[in-house]
Formats: sequence, C-alpha cells, structure tokens
Amino acid sequence: MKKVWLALLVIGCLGLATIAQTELPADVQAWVNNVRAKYAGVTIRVSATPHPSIEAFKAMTPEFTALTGIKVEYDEVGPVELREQHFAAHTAGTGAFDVLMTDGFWIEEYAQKGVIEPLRSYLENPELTPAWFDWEDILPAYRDTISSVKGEPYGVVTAGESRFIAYRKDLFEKYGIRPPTTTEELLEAAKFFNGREPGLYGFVSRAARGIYFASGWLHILYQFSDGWIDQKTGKVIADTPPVIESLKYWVELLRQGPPDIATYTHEEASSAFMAGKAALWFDATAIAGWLIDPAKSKVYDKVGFLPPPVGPNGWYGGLAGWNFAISSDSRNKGAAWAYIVWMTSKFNAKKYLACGGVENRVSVLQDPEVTSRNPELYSALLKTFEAAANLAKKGMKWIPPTWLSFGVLDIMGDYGNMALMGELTPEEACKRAAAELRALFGQ
Amino acid sequence: MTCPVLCGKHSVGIANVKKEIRFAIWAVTPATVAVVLLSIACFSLLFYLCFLSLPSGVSWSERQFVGFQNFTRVFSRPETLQSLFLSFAYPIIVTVGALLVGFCVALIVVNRSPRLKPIFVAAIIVPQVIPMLAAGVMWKLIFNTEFGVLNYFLANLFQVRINWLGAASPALFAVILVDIWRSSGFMGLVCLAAMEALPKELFEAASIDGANFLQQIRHIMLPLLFPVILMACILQLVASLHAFDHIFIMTTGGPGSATSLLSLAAYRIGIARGMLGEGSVYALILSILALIVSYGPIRLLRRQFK
Repeated sequence: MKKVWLALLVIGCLGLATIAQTELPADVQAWVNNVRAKYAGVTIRVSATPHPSIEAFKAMTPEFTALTGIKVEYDEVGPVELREQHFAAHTAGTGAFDVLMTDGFWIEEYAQKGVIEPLRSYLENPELTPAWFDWEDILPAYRDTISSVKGEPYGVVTAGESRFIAYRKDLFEKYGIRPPTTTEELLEAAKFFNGREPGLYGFVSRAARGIYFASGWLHILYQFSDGWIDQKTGKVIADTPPVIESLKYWVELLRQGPPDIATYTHEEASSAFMAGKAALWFDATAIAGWLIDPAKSKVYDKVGFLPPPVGPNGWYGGLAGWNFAISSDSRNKGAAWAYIVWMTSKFNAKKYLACGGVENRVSVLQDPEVTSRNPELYSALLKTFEAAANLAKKGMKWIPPTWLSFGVLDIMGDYGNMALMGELTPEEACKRAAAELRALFGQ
Repeated sequence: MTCPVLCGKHSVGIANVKKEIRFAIWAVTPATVAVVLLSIACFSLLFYLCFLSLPSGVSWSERQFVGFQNFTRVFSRPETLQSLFLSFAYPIIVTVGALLVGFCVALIVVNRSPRLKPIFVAAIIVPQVIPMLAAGVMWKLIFNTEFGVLNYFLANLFQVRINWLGAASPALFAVILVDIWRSSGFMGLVCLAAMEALPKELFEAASIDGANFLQQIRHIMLPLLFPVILMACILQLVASLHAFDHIFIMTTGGPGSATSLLSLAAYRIGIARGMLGEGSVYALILSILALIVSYGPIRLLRRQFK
C-alpha cells in the first residue's frame, strides 16, 4: 500500500513538473521568464465575488504559480459587500488587495476616487503587455464601455455580459407556445406558465431590494424609456411616464415568479430555474454556463436561449460585467498586472472558457470549435450583442454614466422593490426615487 | 464600657475593607477612563458627521458642512418613521421573548437531575456561540419558501407553505424569532446562575407552609431574581437595538422596508449608498433611542440597589 502511495506521489509530481515545463511558444516563455525573474515568491491577493469567471481563474492559478512563482490568494465576498471592502481598504490605505474584481457599474466611481490604476501605461509597454495578450481582440463593446472611463482603460474585462432570456424548451413545446420576441409576448408567456404545473412559476429574475432590483429593472428599462437619467443633459427623468410604464411592466412580470422573489439575487433566481421551478429566466449571459451544466442544473438539457425582447421604445440589450483592475494601493502592481495579463490574454482565452469562463473576445465568439458546442446559445449571444449595440448607436450607455451610478441603482432598486411589495404604486415609487436622485445630484 | 480587643479587631476589619475598595477603584479607573474617553470621541465624531456631506471614498479634506440638510433628508423619507417604530418595538419583543424562553429553560434545568443538566446547558449555549452571520445564512435556508426545511414539514404535515422571507409580516416574525433563539441562551445562562445561587431553605420552608410550585416562583424566586433579570434585560435591550447581522443576511432590510431597522438604514444609506452624513444621522437616532430605551430599566435597577 505504501508503495502505491509513493508511486502516485511521483506521478503527481511528474505531472506538475510537466505542466510547469509544457512547451510554451517562445514569446510566451520569454515573458514568463521575465516575470519569474522579477516577481517569483511574491504573493498577490485578489478581492472577488463568487462567479463562474473566478472559478475558472482559480482552476488556472496552479499553472500560473508554477510558471511565474507568483502565489495568488483569493478573498471572496458577496457582490455588494465587495465594493464596501474595496472602499474600506482604499480608505485605510493598507494595500490589502492587489487585484480588484470591479463591476462595470462601479468603474467610473472607482476611477473618480482613485481606487484603481489607469492602465494605459501598462498596455502600451510591450515588456509588461506582450502581443499575445491582444487588447484589440477584446470585444469593443466591453472594452470601450465597462472597462473604460471617458476613453481611458481602467480595467480588463473578465466576465463581460449582456442580459438575455433562458426558457424551458420542453415546456414551450409541450404547450405549443412560441418563444417570446416582444415584451408583450414575454409577459403573456410568463402568465401562461405561472402555476401551469405543480411547483412551476412563470418567471424568475433578480428582485431583491437595492442594486439587485435595479439591475433587473435595467433588463427592460430602455425597451420602454430613455433611462432614469437623460444621458445628454444629466437631468433626472425617473418620474416620467415611460419610466413608470417600465416599472409597472417589470413588477407585473416579477409577480409571475415565486412568492419570495422580492428577496432574490441572481443566485436564487438561477437556482430556482436550475431546479426546474421556472419556465423563463432573464439574467446575465455570464451565468448561462450554470444553466446548462449537468453538475449544477436539473434542466441542463432542456434550456433554450433568446435575445432580449423588443419593447415599445425599441430593441436594446445590456452591457455590463466584471473587470480585473489594479488597486492603486497595491504594493505589487507589477505582479498584479502579470496575473491579469496571463488570465485574460488571447493566448489563454480558450483555456479560460474550458475552465468555465466567459466569452469576452472576438476570436472566441468567431471560433467554430467554440460556437459548435451550443449553437443556440451563441446565436442568442450574438443577437443580444446586436441589441446592445443599438443603445450605443443612440449615443447611450446601459449603465448610467455617472460616478454616482451605485447610488442611482441603490435608490431606484429600493423604491422598485417597495413597488413590487405593494408598499407603493409604481408611480409613487418613481416619484420618490426621482426626488432622491435629484437630491443626490444636487438638482 | 469599652471592649478594646473586639472593637480593635472591628476597626481593623473596616480599614481593610476601605483599603480594598480604594484598590478596586484604582484598578478599574484606567479602563473606565479609556472607555469613557473613547465613547465621547466616537460620539462627537458621529455628531459632527451628521452635519457634513462626505460621500464614501472622498478624502476627509473634501468634506462640506451642510447644516441640517442631512436631518431634513432623513426625516423626509416616510420609511424613517417605520424604521424608528421597528427599532423601538423590536428590542422589546426580542427581550421579552428571550427572557420567557430563557427563564423557562433555566427553570427546567435547575430542577433536572445532574446527569441531564449538561445536555440542557449545551443546548442553550450553542445558539450563543454560532456567529450571527452564519446563523443568518442557516436560517435563511431554513425559511426558504421553495427549498426550506420548515416549509417542507409544514407542507407535509399541514399542507401549508408560508412565504417566510418574501412577505412583510412573516419576514419580521422570522428575524425576531432568530434573535429570540439566539438571545435565549444568554438569558437562560443568567437566570440559571442566579437560580442556583438562591438558598434552597427558602423553598423548602415555603413548601412546608403549603406554597405550590407557581406560588414559590411568584413570591420567592422572582423577587429575589429581579435585580439580575433586570440587568440582563438592559444588556439584551441594547444588544437587540443594534441587531444587524442576521437581518442583513436574511432580508437585507426587506422585503420592501419590512425589516429595515435603524441599524440597517444606517448601513444602507451611509455605507452601501455612500452618503456618510445621512447614515450618521440614522446612527445618531439609534444612539439616542438606546439611551431612551435603557433609561427606565437602569433607574429601576438603581432603586433596587438603594
């Protein structure tokens, strides 16, 4: 028995050595050697939230550490607490974290307050950023919106996402219902399936008070209106009839969901869908992988995907997601950047995807080897990006372009949740929220 | 007639006690001074923050004095009154509930055989040692409408499924229940320790005189335990006023504003929304409420010791 264990240990070590010494292209090896010479033995800390992208990076970390000698520690908290953790660390100036997982909703605020480093000098230095990283290969929609502030890059997208619909193909086929393409059809389908079978609800999405509700409301906000804030003048328009209409619609749609949907984050919504409790799900494209993962989802082989619906105001999609950014307080900025380069490079893009990561690059979305795995998913993804591009054509951003965006989302989400609970009518909720927004902006 | 030997010894005894008291005062003075100074400093800073506009992440030097603007904004929100009412009622309900449960458990334990006592004591200590954040996660799963074990039993036994955390009243009931579950341990331990210190002869004498169990509790046990129970209630009231952890995990103050106590409002507005000035106003109101709620019992306690 002892000999068996010894044999296994030797094989394991040989395996590790093999990984470490796998033949890398010459330019990659040169970069690895350079990084190893400078940063071997350094430990960096990544502040993150549980997400498929982080699971993928953790799976890729042993190879990174074996090659570069840089050790990586992950500190994970909930998405809302993550922002507070970043601000607390920045205010204290401890340099507790080196790499910050930064939501596209926060990046403008982070840049304004000096929480993260501008990246232009890193990107333009070929010694720090080799050609095989390929910044231009990152989807421009992500690169130029959620990763940049006024044209300056502050983050590298790790999990760019839009928002689309997943639906139970088996149920739609069983009852002969056409997959919805408009907001009206979506609501009708949700109402049809709600309670249609024991334990089945019509619709799930995120609806917990605060940023979760607001983030869900954004799925259809632009289908009805031009948003909560006029992006040309900066005036608050959250109490205008189109916005009220959008909230009425969203509340009615959420009411086709489980009775406790008012407490749902994206995790509960996805869990409910994966457990077969809902006919329709509307959430982040980055989570789609969970829904079709046999290890996680009971309905993995019954899921179809659809782009966001067309609404009275047009057809628009979201552009959001997560980035990796360098903390301005980091004492290991070079090592942090080396980590970001390795994990998000074009060279490792397929490996990242294979480990459960998200498609962020043009080359990946155009690769037949990738798209053939789930043609319906990728077709829906491409249509979703098309919808998202429509907003950009209007000169607008999906995330309110202000460094106070978190406060905007928190206020809209609080009052939206109260409307869902029936504490306020949608009109009252929008009026009160607009008053708070005006106070926030000093209007 | 003097008694030099006995009187001399009596004088020495009093002198020793006075010496011990002086030593005790000196011993606690440094810690007391430190606590008082820290409290004054923190409270002064809190008070000052109430008059500032200081978004989170902005440096201290960029603060702006805005007068009573933060107070106006806080009190113009209708939810503030609800938070105030909740923060007044919640600690009273939790304290009374925890006291009833803790007292009953202690009464059972003190009358049990020595072999069963450790089991009961462990049962009331366990909720105390679980961190409230972890307890919140545990109870959130228990109360889950679709997957929770509570609804599983209710559905199988009574064909009933309650929307625990998604409806206003059940959500409030749920967070109160969790706090009572946790706080009963503390109350139970205090009552148990006090009960065990009571002289058994009193109860034996009462029993001989014909007093039944309930009469003994009402006329002997409760009056003797009153100062200890009062002290425990004061501590519990203040602790419950600051309840945050499990409510944040279970409901984040929702659904709507159903469980939004002042502590959660202070966090939401001050930290999550980044408006430190307005968040400080909520914290100030909470501090004043703590003084009001604890004033009555403290006065009662002082009278007891006079």
